[in-house]
Amino acid sequence: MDEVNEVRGLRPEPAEPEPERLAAGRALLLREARRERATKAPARGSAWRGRELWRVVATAATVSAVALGGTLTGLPSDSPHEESTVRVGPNDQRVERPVAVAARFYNAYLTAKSRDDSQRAGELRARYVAKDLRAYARKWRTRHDTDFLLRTQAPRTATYSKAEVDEHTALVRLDGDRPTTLSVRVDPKEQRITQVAEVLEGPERTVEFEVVPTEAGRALRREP
Amino acid sequence: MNTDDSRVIERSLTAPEAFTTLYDRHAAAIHRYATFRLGDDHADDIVAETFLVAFRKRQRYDRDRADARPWLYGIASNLISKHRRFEARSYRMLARIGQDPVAESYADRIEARVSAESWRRPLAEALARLSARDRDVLLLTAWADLSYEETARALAIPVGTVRSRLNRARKQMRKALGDAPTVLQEAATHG
Repeated sequence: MDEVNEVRGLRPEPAEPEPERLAAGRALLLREARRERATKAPARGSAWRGRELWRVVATAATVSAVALGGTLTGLPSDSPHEESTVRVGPNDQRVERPVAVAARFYNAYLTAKSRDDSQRAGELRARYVAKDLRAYARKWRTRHDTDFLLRTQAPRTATYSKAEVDEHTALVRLDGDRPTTLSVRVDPKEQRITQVAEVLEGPERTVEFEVVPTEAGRALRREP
Repeated sequence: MNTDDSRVIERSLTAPEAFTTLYDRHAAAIHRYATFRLGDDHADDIVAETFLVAFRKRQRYDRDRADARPWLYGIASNLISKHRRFEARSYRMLARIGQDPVAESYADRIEARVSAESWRRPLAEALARLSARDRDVLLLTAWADLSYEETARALAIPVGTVRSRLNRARKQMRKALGDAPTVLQEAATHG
């Protein structure tokens, strides 16, 4: 075990973290726990693994790019008001709230980002993201130089799935240079995003996404 | 102290706030491990995310396992692996110019400088060259003090794989030390 012991001495041992350092994480956890209790929707064990029938999609760019077998270079719809345009499932039912809210936000947000329209991006955050999460996201950005709400640089398309943890959480996959999947929690009353977590890669955490064309033209209209 | 982590997790299924007990028990240790690997700037976020992920996945926790530490370290390792380029770069800096941005982020200058003594440089170079998977095994064993079995649980791999990865990592460490005979002598006085 000599080599292992040598590795142990490679760096100074960190001191115990001060309580304040851990307080923010504890508060986040407690908030999540209280939210779950309030919504009476405990986590389901097989949620990440299940192949649920509910699939959704999102953008014309995604649909057309996949259909053509091309690269995903298009942009999503830019209208944050088009709840009616996002549909899911084999019966073409309307998407429930969390997916719709996530779709409206991310469609518009990616478009704003792609245009370097920081004012529009700020407006969207103010409208769709809970205040304390916005504060956390600002802190995150200064530390990581990455948008907390995206977790990856310059994503080009967003895809949505309803195969999620509970009825208030949607899954959003962002494709770009580094594809990533986000778990987006939405407060049903406030219609705001209250938590965004990156879904870890790994065999048991893999989430299946399918692209299901929506009503072309309606769902995918862009603002000029 | 850790014998009833599984009971806490079980209770949290009906009383979600109970999960904070797990945070109170293990957050500091996870924080120190994250600090060791990535430095002070990342540790808070790694800890917060580790427990949020754990909370959301707790239904699938194997409640026959009384100690939740390996599970939490496994989640933390996954999150840390997203910073693997930064981590490898920090080892390379330590190896080549004697500067360790990770140690400097949480230790005072003297401590950080001591950590950059020449005998440690070959080790840092070897760590930088390890694959992320081998490095996880080595550092969970060395820095998180997990046993082979616990490391296997943390990374969801067989114990045999832990042994083989650790053997590979140790060989590279030994080779690094062996390539620098003066270093070996000096290291022996520290060991």
